[in-house]
Amino acid sequence: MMLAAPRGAAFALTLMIYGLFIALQAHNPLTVFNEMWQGAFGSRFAWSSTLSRATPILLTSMATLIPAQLGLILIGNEGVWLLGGLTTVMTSLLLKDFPQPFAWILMFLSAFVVGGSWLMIAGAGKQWRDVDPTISSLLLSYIALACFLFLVEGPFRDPSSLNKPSTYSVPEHLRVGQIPGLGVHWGLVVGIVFAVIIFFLVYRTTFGFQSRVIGGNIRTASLLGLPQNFFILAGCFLGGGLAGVAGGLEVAAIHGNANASLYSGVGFSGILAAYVARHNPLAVILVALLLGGIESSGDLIQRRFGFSNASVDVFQGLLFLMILVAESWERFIPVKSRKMANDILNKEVAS
Amino acid sequence: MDSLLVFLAILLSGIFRTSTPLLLVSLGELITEKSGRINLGLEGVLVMGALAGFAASYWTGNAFWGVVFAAFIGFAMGGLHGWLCSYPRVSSIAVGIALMILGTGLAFYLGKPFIQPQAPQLFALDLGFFISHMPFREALKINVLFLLGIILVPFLSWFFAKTRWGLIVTMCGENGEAAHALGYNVATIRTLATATGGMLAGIGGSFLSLYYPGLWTESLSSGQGLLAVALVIFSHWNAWRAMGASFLFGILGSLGAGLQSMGMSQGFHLFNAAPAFAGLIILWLTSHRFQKMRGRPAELKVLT
Repeated sequence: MMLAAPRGAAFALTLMIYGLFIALQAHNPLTVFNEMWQGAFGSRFAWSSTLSRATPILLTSMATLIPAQLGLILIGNEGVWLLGGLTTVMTSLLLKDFPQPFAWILMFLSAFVVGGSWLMIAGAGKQWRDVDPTISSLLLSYIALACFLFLVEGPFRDPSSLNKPSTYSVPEHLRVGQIPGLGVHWGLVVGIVFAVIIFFLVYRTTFGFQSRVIGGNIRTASLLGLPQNFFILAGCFLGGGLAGVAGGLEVAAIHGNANASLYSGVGFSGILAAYVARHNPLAVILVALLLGGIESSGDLIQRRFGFSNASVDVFQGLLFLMILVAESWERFIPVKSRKMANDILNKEVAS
Repeated sequence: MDSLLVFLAILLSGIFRTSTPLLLVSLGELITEKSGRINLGLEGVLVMGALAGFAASYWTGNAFWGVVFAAFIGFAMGGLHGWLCSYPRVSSIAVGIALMILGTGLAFYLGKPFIQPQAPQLFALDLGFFISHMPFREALKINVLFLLGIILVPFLSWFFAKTRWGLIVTMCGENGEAAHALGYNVATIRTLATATGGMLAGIGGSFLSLYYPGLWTESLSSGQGLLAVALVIFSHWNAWRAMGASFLFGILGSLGAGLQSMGMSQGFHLFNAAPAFAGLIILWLTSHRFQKMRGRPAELKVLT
């Protein structure tokens, strides 16, 4: 409980600064905050919008979260997400005569493989040439964006899409449907299931423990003889793969085809989510919900107060900055309760 | 023949135009990294600088004040990064990413009213006045900010190698504890170095909105701020090499426009990514697994 206090304080401080920002534009911050709450969690419709925005954030956050267990800071989420979306469309077009379940598996498997392989380039660069993985992953993201736009507007373009170059659409029977009664597509379930699986993989298996040894102390890992190359590549593959599946789900459930509107900053929200959750696969579910809520509230305040949609980025950027600074506020927590919290945490992890 | 000349002129303008923001941002990042910190948020600073420069030039009617205001905003944002990173356990990489998101978000948010209007532009020296071939004459127009970048290169080399303050900054980057033992406030020096780096990035941004392309749009920057960080790494923290690499990337960045002028519009997006692609390849080729990179400040721990 005590350990959450700095984060709560960071959130409160973000609201205060953002409130000031709103007040400077001659709006009442409290009215705007109330509208934001209504737009995020206030109604059934708001919930379904929030949940369908939280889903891609949750899945793309894995491309930062999983490599982080191995000590790699990767921020190439956006590029992997785009490539995953494009791959899913193209595979679905190839497989339109195949039986539905089989085609679905191959569609998302191909997105997983493409996304995972793309991020693996950054991991391989780190292992074999000691290329800084943070920078190489972001460069890879720019390259992926360029390839995506080139393919969508060039070879893969549906000639009938005039104003907005797009690919052909995913065949109707291969679209991903909605969960009955929730107004959210099945990707939400996929995201939560994978988050739980990753949690068990990281904290309850030998594989996860070994990964964290590599992430924690590379010398210990060498002394133990752990195959670091394998672990690093596997982690990048898994993380990138899940972000690729996120793009695939978005296209197969919402957009229908791939075009430039898929490039919307979801990957950056994913990075933010992973950091705020401190790379904990269960906590990231809640953080994704919060960020999904913020994005969905952006729509409402855009209509109601005429704020541009970039106000969401401002809010997210502020929140991110504050949460990071909150890391250093932990020293203000009395040592005794800090120790107690750590003991509980350790016991949980050890058992 | 004529189209080839136009193509060459566009590549030449790559050196004088496209490379200028890269040069300024990478020199800024060089100062920051020399002090032992890394600021990944210069992309956000660049975009904010572009907006600030455009806005101030529009308000005052004088592009000079635009550059000054952009420098000020860049200094403030760099200072924010440096200040936050002075606290224990705050990761400079993550703060950089946050600054990137915040900076671009804030610029797009505040910049909506500036998409339409025109602002007074920066002055350029017409070096090619004796050439009658228009594209070449245009390419040889040299902006004052380009000259600022070129002057900074020998200055920074001299500053870090020969001056007392330069050596203090270098010492903070090589061994913070030694600097602390000598009585210097390492956190303050690093914060100042990051703020100065931000200032140069802000000026680089104002070049985009006040000279080339010379307007404010949301797609103004195509990752130059980030590319500059990569550029500093493979130029081995050397200002002269950073200049060479900026020129190379400027030429690569204008390759797409050049080929378009010759009637090859296919693959336009791919050519836009040419600098990023080249950056990745060069990083891959110049790194070594078991060898500390030459010239790398020892305190730059994040680059593991």
